[in-house]
Amino acid sequence: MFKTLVTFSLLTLLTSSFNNAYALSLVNTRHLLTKTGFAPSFDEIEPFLALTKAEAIDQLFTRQISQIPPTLPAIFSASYRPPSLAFKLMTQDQKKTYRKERRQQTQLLQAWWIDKMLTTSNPVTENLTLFWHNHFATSLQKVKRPALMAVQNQTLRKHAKGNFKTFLHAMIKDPALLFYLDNNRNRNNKPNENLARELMELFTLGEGHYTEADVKNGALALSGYSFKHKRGTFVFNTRQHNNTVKNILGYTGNWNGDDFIDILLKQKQTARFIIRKLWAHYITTPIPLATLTRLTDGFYQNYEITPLLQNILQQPDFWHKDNQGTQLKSPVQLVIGFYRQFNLKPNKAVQLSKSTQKMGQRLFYPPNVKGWPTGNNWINSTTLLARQNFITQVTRGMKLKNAIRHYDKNTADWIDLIVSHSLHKENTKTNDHWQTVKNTLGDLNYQLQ
Amino acid sequence: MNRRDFIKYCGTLGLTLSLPERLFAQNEIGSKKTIILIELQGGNDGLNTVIPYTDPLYYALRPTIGLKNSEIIKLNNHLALHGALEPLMPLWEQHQLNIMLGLGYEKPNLSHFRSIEIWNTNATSDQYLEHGWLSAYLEAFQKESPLSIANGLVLGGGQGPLLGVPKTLQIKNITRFLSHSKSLSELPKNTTTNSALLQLIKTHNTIQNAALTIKTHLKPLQAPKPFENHPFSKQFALATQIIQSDLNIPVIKLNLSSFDTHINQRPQHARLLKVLAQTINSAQQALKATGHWQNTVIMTYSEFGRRAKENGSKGTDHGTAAPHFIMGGHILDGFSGSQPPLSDLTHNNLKFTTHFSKLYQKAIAL
Repeated sequence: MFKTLVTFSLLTLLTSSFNNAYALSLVNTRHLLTKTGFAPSFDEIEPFLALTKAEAIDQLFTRQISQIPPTLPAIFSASYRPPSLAFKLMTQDQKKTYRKERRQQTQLLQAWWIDKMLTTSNPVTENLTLFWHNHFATSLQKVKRPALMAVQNQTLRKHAKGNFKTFLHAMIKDPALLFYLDNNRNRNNKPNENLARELMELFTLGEGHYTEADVKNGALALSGYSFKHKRGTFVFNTRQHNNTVKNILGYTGNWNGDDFIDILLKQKQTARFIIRKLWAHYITTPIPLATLTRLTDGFYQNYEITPLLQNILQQPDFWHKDNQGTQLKSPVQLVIGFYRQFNLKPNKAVQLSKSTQKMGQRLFYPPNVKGWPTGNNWINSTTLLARQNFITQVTRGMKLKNAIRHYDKNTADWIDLIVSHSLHKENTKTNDHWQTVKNTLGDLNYQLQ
Repeated sequence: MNRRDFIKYCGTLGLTLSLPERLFAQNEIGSKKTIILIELQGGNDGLNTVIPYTDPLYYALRPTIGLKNSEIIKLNNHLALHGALEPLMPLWEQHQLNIMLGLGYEKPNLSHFRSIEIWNTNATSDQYLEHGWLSAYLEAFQKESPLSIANGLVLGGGQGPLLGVPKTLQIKNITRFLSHSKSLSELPKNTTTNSALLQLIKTHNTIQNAALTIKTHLKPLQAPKPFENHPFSKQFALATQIIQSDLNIPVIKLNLSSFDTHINQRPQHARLLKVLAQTINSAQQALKATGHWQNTVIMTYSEFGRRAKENGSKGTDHGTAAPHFIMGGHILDGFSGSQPPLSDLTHNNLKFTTHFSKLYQKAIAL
């Protein structure tokens, strides 16, 4: 590591004297990698330093495109839950065993995802998977079947930066989502409005862009979209589908759920809604109207997510100082970012999921279908204490100290970069690298990105 | 706040009332009024909470989830309580429970998130406000008691009606709160335009300001009847303990969730109402034992009621008007407002008869 660091300093020197207008600075590289993934280690930063902004953004989305997506442990390949009748017939001991197994599976699933986020060479995808988990928010609290959540997590990952159209069609067939929003109980002549409403309010159009009649007709279109309880796979029960003519957002016909999705995608508002949400994911200042119009015209053509994201990241807004260090890190970003930044491995991945839970973000358990309230809402007197306690704990042990010990004076750039987080740089930076790092982590600015 | 300010403030809320003198007391010591807010998150089914049991339309609209005579407690000739609310009956009999009927607002919104925002900010259906309905009341409190440790305390759910109120504490686990707060360092004086950083600094200061006082003044909980083991009961137990310790926090918010009963409503709704009633009963006994009940006001609220007509899954979809409870040591009437008739529905939804802000006015005025 030491050797490569020397090269960095030279590299920055070179780029700053010859190529200043084009190359990314250390701070900008960190900004790009943190916002699109997690706080980067110096090793991750290196390959980007010689690139222009446009090249760097391009790299982010193309470099690992051939990578095989992470596979799930075999235990999640089949769904797991006895039919409810059998559950009722179980003895107390059997129920206890079943609940214990379910708890273990939940922890295994959380640890599995945490581990992916810690070790992935494709942080953009994991960051977006987390974004979509919060968009199509589904909670194990109700679903109670880790296997179904595992399948959903893979679906989110598969489409995370793909095509939103395909994504949405896949999501209305996702068993965990169908179960979470009661659509398995939405039957011909016995409609249940839950999915239809949230689909429009939270997943596509936003509140105020549909009527109560659209909700009712949408529910009819979605009737029969269910899943096989034993196998946990999607099924369209045609006999439970309402085969009447429905009027949704001005379109009249005998629509099914997929037709309903197509109608939603015909609304420019859907493109606008998704763009606004993605913008806020990366950028603190609101999207200017002209930019929104321009981005909407592009995204609405084919709903391709990657070109949209590249476009957002290329906006001057993304790089503006008002949008660097002005966004609260989510608990997952804070915790995963810390370990990645210092190249550290936790003893147990599941511990990290407990840490984020205390900070208000328990993976696979968003508080409701609207997801976690983000931005400044991450911080209250309980969650701030949990965050500071996390920092206290990780700076108490020897692990971080030992990692810092290997740095030496050639790591000046790196230390400067770390210190640039601080509120009071003059107090934070000392001759002792370890003390400097500790001061920086304890600083409230470390909570920001 | 002086009397004139207070009158002006009451005007903005549409209040006419005789002014409670204790609001103006300068003394920081001793027990003062506490409002406890209970958010019934998900949209509580009002029609199965207070049941128009003599109306045949009720049973026609709710063939499977309609509550039978054996499952209700009759309060008068046409209204009854869900049987699971039995632990509230002592309050009812002592005239310390008021049921406000048909609460809602014009042009109801059936989204959980938008509707609770309307309730939280006391907005109209097409108005977007940034501050919780209590912020004016608490601004007044803050002026009167600048040294108070907090203007509001959230023990469950989001900030809700305390949105935008400075010095709002949010505590999940009091032991952890007190032990972790020790590790907070002194913060350098700072001014910033960075709103995220400001949020961190303010919260940091709120914790430091409150933690030491809570630590030195918190007394053990005194409860003649133990609280249940439910998360909501734990919130209420802590609220009780804090009131008993005379920490002078004017508003405490609690949350009981899972009222979004789209499927198989019966057992779930009964469980929730039972926890609600038992917990209130325990808290009332505890607060009475230490002489704090007189100064306590408890009110429930929810984003909406549920559809009058049941859905196809033995549950109910999102609806509109619903009744709410207001309780306290002061004598209250039995019912206020009127029950929305089942014969006059809009898309199977009730029409509200009383604006929800009447509930807020009552909680403040008591």
